[in-house]
Amino acid sequence: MAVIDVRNVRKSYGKKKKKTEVLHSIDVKVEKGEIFGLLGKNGAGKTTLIKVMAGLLVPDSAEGHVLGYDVLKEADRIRANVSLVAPTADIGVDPVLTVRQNLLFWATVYGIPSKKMQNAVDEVMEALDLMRYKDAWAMEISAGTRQRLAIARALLVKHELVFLDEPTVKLDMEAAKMIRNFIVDLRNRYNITFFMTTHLIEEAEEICDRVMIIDKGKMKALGSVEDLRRKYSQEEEIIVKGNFDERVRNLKNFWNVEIHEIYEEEFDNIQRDTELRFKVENVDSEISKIIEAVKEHGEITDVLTKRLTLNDIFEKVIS
Amino acid sequence: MTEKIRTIFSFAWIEFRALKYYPSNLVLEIVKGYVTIFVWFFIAYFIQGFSSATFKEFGGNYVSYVVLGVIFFQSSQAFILAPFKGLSTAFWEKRLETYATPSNGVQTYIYGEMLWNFVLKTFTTLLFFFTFVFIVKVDMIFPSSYLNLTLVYILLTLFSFGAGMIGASNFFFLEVKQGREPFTWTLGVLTQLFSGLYYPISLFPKGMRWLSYILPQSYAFDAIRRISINGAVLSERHVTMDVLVLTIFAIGTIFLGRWLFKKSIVRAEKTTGFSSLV
Repeated sequence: MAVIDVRNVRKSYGKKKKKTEVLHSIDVKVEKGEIFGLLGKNGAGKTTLIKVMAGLLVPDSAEGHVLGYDVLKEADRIRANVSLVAPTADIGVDPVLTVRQNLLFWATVYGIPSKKMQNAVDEVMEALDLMRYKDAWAMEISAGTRQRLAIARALLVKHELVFLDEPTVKLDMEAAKMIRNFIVDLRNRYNITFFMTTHLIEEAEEICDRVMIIDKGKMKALGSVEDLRRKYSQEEEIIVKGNFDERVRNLKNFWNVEIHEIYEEEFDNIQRDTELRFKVENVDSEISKIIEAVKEHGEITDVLTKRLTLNDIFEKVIS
Repeated sequence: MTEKIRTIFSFAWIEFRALKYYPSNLVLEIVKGYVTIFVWFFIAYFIQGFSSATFKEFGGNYVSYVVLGVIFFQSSQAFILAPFKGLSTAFWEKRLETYATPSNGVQTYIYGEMLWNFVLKTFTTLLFFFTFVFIVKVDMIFPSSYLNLTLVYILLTLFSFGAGMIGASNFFFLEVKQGREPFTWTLGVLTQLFSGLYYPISLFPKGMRWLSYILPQSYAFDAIRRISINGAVLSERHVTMDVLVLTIFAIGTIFLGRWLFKKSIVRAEKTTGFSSLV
């Protein structure tokens, strides 16, 4: 079942003459329990799109539903049923309250019944390793811990749709990893859907089931990282080095391969090597076949793979 | 409903925590209030002899007249400004968007701000009032009509919050996001000039008095003075009229303020939202 199913989302800011169109006819469909990543450069329209999906902004035009509510007519209902973590750590964190008081305050605001409040607060504090800061003033904890507190706040209620706008920004690697694990864990335990933006492409690659790349308010690519790899697969390479006979050139009949002669000088000797660069769709499925085939033509000294990362795809799509 | 009230109290509690964390703010607020009232008290004290004829209606007592006016003007003005100030602060501290996501929304936050201001300003108003009645010994009849006085105070508060909500709606309607908001600013200026706050309305040329009659504060200040200085009761013609007009204004502005504020939220959703981040 699709939690988000909207089409032709358009949004502009400013008045008539100074109107700037930020989103140009974007379609978004996110299934329940999915971790969906939104990638794009600064100013690509990520935050505007997340705000539209979260019911904080009504688009100029669009069709479809978020959590079954009309994206044009029921923005208030949408935002009442989703959680949002904004990109700045301080947002939603009150500096004059302790970590625990902050969460208790938000538990009240979110309408968690008094009897369940303590448990809900303890659960998120445990999960995000905030217990040791429970009596610390929010103004006295690090930016990273404040960010975890902001995430804890958003996750107090188990809304079925959570928006995370750059959730690990400002966090060190260990804290970012903890957040990512927590997101995956929550999805697995409660089937929560996450819609997140990130600048960290490795992050999207690690936890997102599907990603959408947008640029200048337009969708440029959509799919799982594997789908996108396949789509832009010409970029993956297997590089085999060694001493091979002339018949190695016959491999061109089976693979897209470039053959280079490499001369390396070592202790007055000039060593001649051959480098075979195989352009493949998928490194994993081709590598064993290629090694077997090349072995028949000589001795392999080195094998390198150049796998397509989401970062490569991103750069390619944006360029 | 209970949930909504609990949330309103939570927002008010947050403001209380901030004051508890920085208690000097409360002290400075009280000192500032006293300074303003004492300035007018001394001015009135020195010109009392020249002005008594003008204040025949209020026992010829300009000191009581102006002290009461200034005490209640301070709280009314704080209530008028509270919703816009709360909205603006939360917006620039980037909290407003987060407040907009829970089911209770931005309105609950504003009601919490109003509740907190009501508690704080009622406390300071009582403090100022008792100081001038029992310590400075300004001539007032107290506590003979305190229930009537409370009624007028509540009506003035309701009107002020209603007007404040109208002003806060301009945050999104006019996109006035900082500094002075035109509606509440104009209301404040007109009140100081024409409501009889510092001098009686009878001083104005007849052609200008309509400006006083359209200001609800004129009725509130008049009723407060008649009750506190003359010991008038609700059934007295002047006070009855004052309370009646003030009630109409209070109900009208509360409903108009709420309606406009809701509309302004819808406008915010359609334009730039609740945050400066895009």
